[in-house]
Amino acid sequence: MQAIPETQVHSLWWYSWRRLKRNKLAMLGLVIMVLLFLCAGFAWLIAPMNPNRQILEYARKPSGFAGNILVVKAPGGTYPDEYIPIESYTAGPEFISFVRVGGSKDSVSRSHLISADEAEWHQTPTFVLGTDRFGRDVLSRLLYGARVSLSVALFAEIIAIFIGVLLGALAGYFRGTVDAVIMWFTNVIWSFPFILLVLVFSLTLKEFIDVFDSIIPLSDWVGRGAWQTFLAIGLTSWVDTCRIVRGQFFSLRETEYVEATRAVGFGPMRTIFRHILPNALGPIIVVATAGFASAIIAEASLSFVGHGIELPTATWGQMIYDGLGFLQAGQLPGLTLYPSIAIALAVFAINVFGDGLRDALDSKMKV
Amino acid sequence: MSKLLEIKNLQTFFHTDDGVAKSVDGVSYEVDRGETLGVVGESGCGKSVTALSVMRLIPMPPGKIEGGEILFNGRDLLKLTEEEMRSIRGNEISMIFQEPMTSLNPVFTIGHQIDEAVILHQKVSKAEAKLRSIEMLRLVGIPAPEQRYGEYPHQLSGGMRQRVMIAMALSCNPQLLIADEPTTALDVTVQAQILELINKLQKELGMGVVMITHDLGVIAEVSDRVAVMYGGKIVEYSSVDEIFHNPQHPYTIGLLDSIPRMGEHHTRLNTIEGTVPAATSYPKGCHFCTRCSFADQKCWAEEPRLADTGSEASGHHYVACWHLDRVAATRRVVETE
Repeated sequence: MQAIPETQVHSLWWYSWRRLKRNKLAMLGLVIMVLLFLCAGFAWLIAPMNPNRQILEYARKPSGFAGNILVVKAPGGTYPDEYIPIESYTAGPEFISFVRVGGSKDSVSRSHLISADEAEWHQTPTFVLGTDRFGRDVLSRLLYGARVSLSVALFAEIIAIFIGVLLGALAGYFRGTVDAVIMWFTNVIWSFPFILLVLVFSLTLKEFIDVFDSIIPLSDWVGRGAWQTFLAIGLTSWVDTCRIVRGQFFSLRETEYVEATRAVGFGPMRTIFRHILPNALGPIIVVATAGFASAIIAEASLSFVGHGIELPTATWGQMIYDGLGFLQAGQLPGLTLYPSIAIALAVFAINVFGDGLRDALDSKMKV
Repeated sequence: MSKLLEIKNLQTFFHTDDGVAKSVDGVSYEVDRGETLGVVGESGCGKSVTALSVMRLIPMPPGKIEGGEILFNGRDLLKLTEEEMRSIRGNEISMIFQEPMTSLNPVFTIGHQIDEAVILHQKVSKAEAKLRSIEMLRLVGIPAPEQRYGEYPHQLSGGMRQRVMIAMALSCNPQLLIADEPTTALDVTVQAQILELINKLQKELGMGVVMITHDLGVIAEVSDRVAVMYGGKIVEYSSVDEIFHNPQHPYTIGLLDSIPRMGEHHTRLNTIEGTVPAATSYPKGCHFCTRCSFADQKCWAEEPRLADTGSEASGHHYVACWHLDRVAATRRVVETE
């Protein structure tokens, strides 16, 4: 026997990652995804304004509009601060006199101002992407909208993968009656138009939203309606995963190493989840990324028709719906355009990343 | 003390769309501790199905074990629950397969795969399992086992992988090893090494071995006794010397004649005429009658039983043929020529 040369042994994941790194487009997708997730996660830090702050005087302003605002305490102190858009102001020792947008003159006592510091009570925010019809900052809403889109896509996809993998694995491994029953069920789900089914689930689950919220208060974290949206999309989009996993199991269960696990005395559950599933992981990851992209679109569609996350939470689909009226009237195309670009960008990024991932994992199988 | 493995009149049928395939129909053989039984026959003769029946790994449906007994240390394996059977598989009876290239899971290290079997059956800790695995890798002649332990199957050659499969099969000290064409996929020099290894380990560990193959060379090398199978039945069953020096069934004779011998000059190799009939349509009588030059009406109509033709000197020698006299006479003529 010859001596074994000292070579560094790496896991198959290491090789896949190395292949993936060489794929420029996939890495671009990955970078965009990471940036989007960072935007979503740190929206409270990055967003220039509260996304739900309405400044009606500033409604429908174009990109780059510069505001001029006095910030005063709201009456009673429990409500958020009040933003008074002004044209100009003169600061006196006790009162600030100012001219409102529109020309009317007014004044406010210094004690009502948000603080004694002029930099805080007088602000000139720039609305980089303009404002919507309620005078809300579009950029801030986009950033907060990413949070909804990505979290819905993520959790819906986790639910979908869980159901799809479980059913697909059982159907593919046991075949026969188990397969027939699962595939019958899958085909029933599949035969409905996707968005219709999501709507049905969403409206049905709406009744139980308080029950879910008492367990995990997603409504507080993401927006009211988060639970039903997660579940509705998750419960309807597992079909592709299920079919792919089933197909994988059909072929993998016939391989010698699976037969060998039976000969070693392993039970079916151990064989399915410890031995076959890791081999089907490549296709599952790829179908998961594709599903992630379609979940983003599904959430946007659901919001667009008004059954997604409830108002006033910013979502991309809701923003497109809001902007649509203006677009049809030939005004303010940005209101529709920006969230559309955001959706397209997210879907593009996850898709090219998924494609790259498939290539990286596929050639692994040929080793 | 009962025999290690005793198969009695095993019948394993497959219920297919084309009818019932009687892949194994009334097979009986036995293997004792420290003994190697060679099972030889061409593809589809039922030799692997018999072995899979012993492991209870016949895919059901469409397969079904219709009758017979498989006694392992006197216990009928066919009466055990799936749970009990699972604790026997890989533990008391192990099996190695034909395809070492694909018999290992590509996504796990070989160490992980041996460990898992050891942990399942021996109920030991991860650290103990690792020691055991490395010891097994060393036993089967893998160099630098500590390093190989952490490697993936694609980093090993075919021969190395078959050694790993053997290490895995033997990791729980089985009493019986079923080797289903363990050398078919390997090149000739590696074949010899693997057979030598199995022989050596059998002596060291005192296992019974069932060596399934279609290669008579392998049989000659490792077996103590031989069962020749054709069409789901055993047609001849005796010691290895008897099979090679005194074959009595026309099929066995045909098989031996098809081996090219050193020193003889052939323009064409000898073959057995015809092909094996489908398992769903075996003839009513002797299954070999479609290809046998001795076959007459009786062969087609009535099935011959295995009968002992052995003498005191030769030991038991079972043959299932109606025309032993004619076959023997022809053979004598051929030999004197």
